[in-house]
Amino acid sequence: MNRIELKFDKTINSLAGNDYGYKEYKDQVESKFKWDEKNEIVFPNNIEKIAISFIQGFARDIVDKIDKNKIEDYITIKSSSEYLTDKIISNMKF
Amino acid sequence: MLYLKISWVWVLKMQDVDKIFENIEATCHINSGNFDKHKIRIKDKRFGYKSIFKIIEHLKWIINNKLFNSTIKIVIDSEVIADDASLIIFETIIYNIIKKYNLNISYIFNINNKILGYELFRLSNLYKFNDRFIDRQEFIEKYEQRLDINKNRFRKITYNNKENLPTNYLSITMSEFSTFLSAFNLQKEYLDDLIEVISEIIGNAIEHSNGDCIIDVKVLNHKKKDHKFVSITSISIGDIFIGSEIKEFINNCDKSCYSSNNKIVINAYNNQKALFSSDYDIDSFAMVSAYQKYVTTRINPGGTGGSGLTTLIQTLIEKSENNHCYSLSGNNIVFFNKPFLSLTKDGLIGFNELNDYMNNIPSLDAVRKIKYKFNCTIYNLMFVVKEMIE
Repeated sequence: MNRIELKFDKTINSLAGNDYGYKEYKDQVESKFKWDEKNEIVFPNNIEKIAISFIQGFARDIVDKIDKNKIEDYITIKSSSEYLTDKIISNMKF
Repeated sequence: MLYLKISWVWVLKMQDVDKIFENIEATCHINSGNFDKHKIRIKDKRFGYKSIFKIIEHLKWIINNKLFNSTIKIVIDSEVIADDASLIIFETIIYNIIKKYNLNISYIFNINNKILGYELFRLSNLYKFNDRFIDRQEFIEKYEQRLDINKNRFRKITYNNKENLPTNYLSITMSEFSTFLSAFNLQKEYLDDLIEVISEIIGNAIEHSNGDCIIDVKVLNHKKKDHKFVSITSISIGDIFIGSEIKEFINNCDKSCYSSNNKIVINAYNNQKALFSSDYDIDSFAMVSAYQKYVTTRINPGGTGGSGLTTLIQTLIEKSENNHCYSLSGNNIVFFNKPFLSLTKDGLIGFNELNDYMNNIPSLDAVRKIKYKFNCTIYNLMFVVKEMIE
């Protein structure tokens, strides 16, 4: 599995904003993402809350390329809680 | 418990604040022939937008007639305060009058101190100068304070700078709200949704308006045991309204640069336009359209449109025991009330009995006009929620 560990400012516990999500995807994920295998995207433990706007921006290019219902064939999410992990996936599919 | 007290002075764009006086018709509301002393008395049962407009009408009349040596007293004899947005708009009016016009003004709120609205008033910046001489400098500094946090209140002014959008600016704001609201014993899932809805409202305000945004959150004890009253208000002063960009899209002959998802707007517009009236026109339609899934004015599509916010508000309403939520933009108000608050499987919301956006106009109980095209975009969300039982 291809592991992509994300890094954010350690003083924040939340992520929000469509454009910010898109920028972070471009900066931290795009060049490392492998379309021929599963990718584990790891959000750091200090991130406890993520707004839908961030996830929509973050996943913009991904859902342009693949069927939303097949996201889990390409991506596994790891985050500070199971609740947050489920939310990230469901918001990607929204 | 140690409460954080932060002061950070921020200078609002003055011309933006003065915009709330635009589009309001100057009208004299006093009968007396003595134009040195003006007493504006508000007798509306609820102190709300109707009262606000009456006050601005008379103040604008004073300004237009250059009666700058007048003494003005505003007497609020209302029984209740409609919501926190009314108080913040009133505060903005006083701020503008003393800062830009340097008029001698005072106010008195004769409201019932046993009701919840009084608590909103008590926590507002207005309380200190109620029925007292207004210290001009202190009032202005308090209004312009960028961040003001105490036990029950979080108030922040977010500067409308589009350059902030691709940065962690919103994330920092969301983290601040998270810290503030975590002090209350609210259920975690509800708390998360509250924090998210606040950040989404601010994000929308920065992205789709041209004014700075005041966000004010108050959490109070409710008379019902183990319940809290949560009030969230955001106010952006400016003349770009919710749906303004969608109206441009409808009127733009060249639609090639827009998302193909927006086709539903054109289809719905063609189906609804024959039903337009003075109560529901293209501006109302455009505002309603902004809450549909995938509808976006982004050239590069991929956003959730307004449905992400609608879904969040819907979730909060479903989890609360009582609520009153609306957005006001220009001369339109959209109420987020049951039974009209439900997205179809396609992510559309009609705000009508049939929940049909494509073919039917909304219910007048959900989408209404107000008297003036008010240069503001306001979200006012109020919830009564049960506390977490440990």
